[in-house]
Amino acid sequence: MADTGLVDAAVMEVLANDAALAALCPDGVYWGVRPGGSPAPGAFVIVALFDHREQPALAGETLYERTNYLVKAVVFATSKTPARQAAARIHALLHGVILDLAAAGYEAMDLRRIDRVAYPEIDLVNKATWHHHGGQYELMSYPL
Amino acid sequence: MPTTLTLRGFDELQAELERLTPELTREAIALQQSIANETAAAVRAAYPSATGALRASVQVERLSSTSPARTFTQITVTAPYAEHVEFGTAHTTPTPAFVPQTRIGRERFTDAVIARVRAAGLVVGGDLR
Repeated sequence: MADTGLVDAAVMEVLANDAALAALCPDGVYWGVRPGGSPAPGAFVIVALFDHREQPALAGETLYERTNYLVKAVVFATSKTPARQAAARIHALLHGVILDLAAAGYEAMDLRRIDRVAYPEIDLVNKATWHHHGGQYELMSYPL
Repeated sequence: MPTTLTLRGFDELQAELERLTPELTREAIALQQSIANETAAAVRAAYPSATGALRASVQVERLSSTSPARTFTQITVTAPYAEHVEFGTAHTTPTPAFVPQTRIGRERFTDAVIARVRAAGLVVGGDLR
């Protein structure tokens, strides 16, 4: 039975299981927001569902699905370099990779970056800077 | 051994397209403006509202074109914190609004133009997205 939530989990797993990304973003990989309300300074990865569409086929079947994930490194730092390096690692892990989605009941066709994301954020509490670097990654897959 | 590929019918196709273009462009301009306004409304509705400034900063502007067969309309969000709302901050979740709604708007416009071209008697094929 196809479960799109398991597809989301598979994307998270690729990022969470990578030692190089964990070294750059040691505070973890989170869905949507880092829990805890007002996170302490650190470095982490955010994955969020940004857009999704399905190509219908006959008899109520789905031919394929296109899911757009926002994947970004969020790093508290004086320079954007650590966030940029983490974004480069995210790109290496996702862009052009065919994910194994068998456990989710899906077959992956393609995964690639369709747009970049890069912006600073001045923290309202301490006026220091968070750097957000990553991209929108589009996964094409079909249910088995 | 040389290989030759001969394609015929381009003159006829070009003549058909030129005949179709002025009328289609006029229709496309109105369609694009209408869909852009609806898309902007959908973006505004998808944004959270505290002061209303973010929603009020969503603008639709028709751009000029040097070609009579091309029409451009631009949707912009001028609030300086639009990126923080769309993609999130260190403390808040992303709010997908502009990205998915403009994608839907572009697809609706493409579908509408294809329908007009088909109504004019031409065949449209292939994946245009």
